[in-house]
Amino acid sequence: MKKNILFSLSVMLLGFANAQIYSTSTGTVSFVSKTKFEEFSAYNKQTQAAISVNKGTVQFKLPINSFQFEKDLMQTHFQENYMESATFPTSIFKGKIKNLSEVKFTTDGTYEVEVPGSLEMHGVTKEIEVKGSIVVKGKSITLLADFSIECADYGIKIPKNNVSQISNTINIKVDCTLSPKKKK
Amino acid sequence: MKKIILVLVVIAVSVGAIGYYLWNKPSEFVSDGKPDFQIPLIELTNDGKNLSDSIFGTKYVGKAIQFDAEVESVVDNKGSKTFTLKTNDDDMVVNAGFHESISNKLTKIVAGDKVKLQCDCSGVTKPESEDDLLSEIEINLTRCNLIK
Repeated sequence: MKKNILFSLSVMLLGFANAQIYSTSTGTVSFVSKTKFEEFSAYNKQTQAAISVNKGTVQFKLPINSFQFEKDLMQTHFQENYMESATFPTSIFKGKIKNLSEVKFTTDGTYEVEVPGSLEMHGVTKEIEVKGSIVVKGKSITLLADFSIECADYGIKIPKNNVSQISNTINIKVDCTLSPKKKK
Repeated sequence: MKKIILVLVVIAVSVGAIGYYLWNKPSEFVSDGKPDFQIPLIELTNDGKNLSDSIFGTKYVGKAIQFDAEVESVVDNKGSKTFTLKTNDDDMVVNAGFHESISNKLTKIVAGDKVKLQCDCSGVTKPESEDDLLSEIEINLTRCNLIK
């Protein structure tokens, strides 16, 4: 009898622990490069994202080769020349929500958050702070953010003859809807 | 002299036209043509689990892979669909992403359906540590095409 109670308690605790993590592997991250002469964008709909609602930690992983461009040559240049995706196949952001106490994960609503963390891209890791929002709706959590990075900060070199076409400042948009993580 | 100028003009126009075409050539949104691999999905997932990222990348990334699979779930992501495929491994996720241009072809596919797909492999991501929030190994497939 005691064993049964212990087992049930363990299962409940495990379920509770899993319920604290929300995740997705089909989130969207897109970016725009805009100069006087050229504007282009690309999106990645295979972004992995997770949040631990009790700890306030967040994590994003972007497979660089999953970015889709409209133009073939841009996609090739992006992967091979700029991001060098054969050597640096993934970009990772790990952060922790600064104002976690203001987010009510059990109440539907939109909550503004500040998330300092580390962004690893092209083999370079930098500390950044991202402002975004968390939308709680029923059992789903959507993480939204809109921020900019400088290519030069991550060792991404834009050749002089392409400076008019590719901006050093890249605007990034994050839109990932997460659901409670369940063990299969 | 006139002939030389004419030839130079023709060459310049041709080079310009080829450059313009290459610069504006649209990306391939759907994997078609002859696949580089025709393998069971379990071979891909075993390689994703057992090979290092770089060896897996050299073998599969950018290559067209044709395989049979069972659809575990269908995600509609702003007009384009992603199939999460059934694997026999709790810690393995395989996502097959489709471009919105072929969404019409996928309307009848639901979870549990058996499909034959051809996709380009864009890589594998693995957890970095035991306390990683993203604890699954994930194989990403893009530009997928529904063969049957």
